[in-house]
Amino acid sequence: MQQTKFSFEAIGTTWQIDIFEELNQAKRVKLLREISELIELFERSYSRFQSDSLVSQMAKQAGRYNLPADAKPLLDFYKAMNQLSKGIFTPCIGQMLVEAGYDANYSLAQKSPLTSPFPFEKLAYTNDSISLPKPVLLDFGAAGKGYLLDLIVVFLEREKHPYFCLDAGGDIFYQGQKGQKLKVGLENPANLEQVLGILELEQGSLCSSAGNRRKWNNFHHIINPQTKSSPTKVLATWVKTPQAMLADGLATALFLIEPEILESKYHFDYLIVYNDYTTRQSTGFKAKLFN
Amino acid sequence: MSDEINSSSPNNSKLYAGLAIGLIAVVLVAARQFNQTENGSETTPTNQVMETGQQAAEGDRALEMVTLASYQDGVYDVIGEYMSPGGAEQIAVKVALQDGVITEASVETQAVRPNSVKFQNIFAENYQEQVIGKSIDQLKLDKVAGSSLTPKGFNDALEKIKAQAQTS
Repeated sequence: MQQTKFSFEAIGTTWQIDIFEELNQAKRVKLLREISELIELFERSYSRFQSDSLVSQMAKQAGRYNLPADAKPLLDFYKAMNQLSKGIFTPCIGQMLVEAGYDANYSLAQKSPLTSPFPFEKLAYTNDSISLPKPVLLDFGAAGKGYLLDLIVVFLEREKHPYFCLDAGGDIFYQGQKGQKLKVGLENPANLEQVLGILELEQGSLCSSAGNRRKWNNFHHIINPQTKSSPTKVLATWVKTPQAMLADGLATALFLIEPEILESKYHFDYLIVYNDYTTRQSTGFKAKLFN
Repeated sequence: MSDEINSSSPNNSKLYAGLAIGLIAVVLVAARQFNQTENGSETTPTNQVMETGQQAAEGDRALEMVTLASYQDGVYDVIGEYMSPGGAEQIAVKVALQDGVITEASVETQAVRPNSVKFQNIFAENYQEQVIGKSIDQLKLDKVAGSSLTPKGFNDALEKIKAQAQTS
């Protein structure tokens, strides 16, 4: 079968987009341009690593801000997760990540004692605006990339490209032709030349999170705002759901919250690898693990 | 398999994992002797459990890497005996060997004293197989799902910090 393949760097990672159909040169160029624009637009709103992004502006000044049309589902997900986790899962973690050293310049040195995040429930938002009683640095690192994958899925379907595989640095959304499964290796976070098992993905999203990749001093990119430390018990997580935002967000959440609590609200399948290399996988995950 | 204890106290789970290795090693020695008496083999029973330096350093991870050079393939079903504070107790351990490597292991509690029953149950519930990595080259994969590739800026910053630490 003919395929169209795009490979590029964006939001700090390597992307590989495969469209399972043959496209002529003009269509390929147009499609790649439109996808790139979608990603750039997303970063201008939600990336705290861009100094002029919406979230960077919100970190400087209190007030009411207009939101892009796609903001509400993302904020709603964070709100639901914030309630479910009793405040542990929050986009207001941005300031704490910066204080710990995970800032836009990657200083990776703790600047000050970590201060508790602003309570997310005190941020009022509607479909098109959000009001900040004080400056708050929002971080959408937990579910933002997954949500971006979902937005690209909607775009591709609207443009009549039904079969594709999106891979944003190891977070995947796959929609193959009937019966075509994707054979996915589950990366060993301690050795990137290895995989710990294989999952056959029929369709939907598979996202992962690992604590020992973006790591400095005593921290990695996930910090629990209540303990003010990075979780160490979990080494890596994988979550499979039909929606990438959920898969991405829940993969992060499994570092902070027991799966039973998350399962009380969401349907998802997961694999957790603990720091002693023991594992826990939901019955529907069905990965073949090497042991 | 229950993770209750494992997830709330990782130290304990390590202890159990260590216990599992110990027990299985003991049982294998027993299995070997049993095997020997059966087929009358004269191979020396010592030094059959070999670990590499790294695996020895990570003792409780080494289950799947323990190689038993002179065992025959097959399933070994053995009762382990030990002395509890209340007296002798037993635990049943089953291991499958292939090419000198344990490919499967399971335990079955056989204790009679309430405390021993409790501890054996905790052990049985928390004894978990551990995953190991397999080289990507050996496998035919469409994709690899992992934590996002580390952002380049992050890597550069780490390198810089390492360099500073060396010069200062």
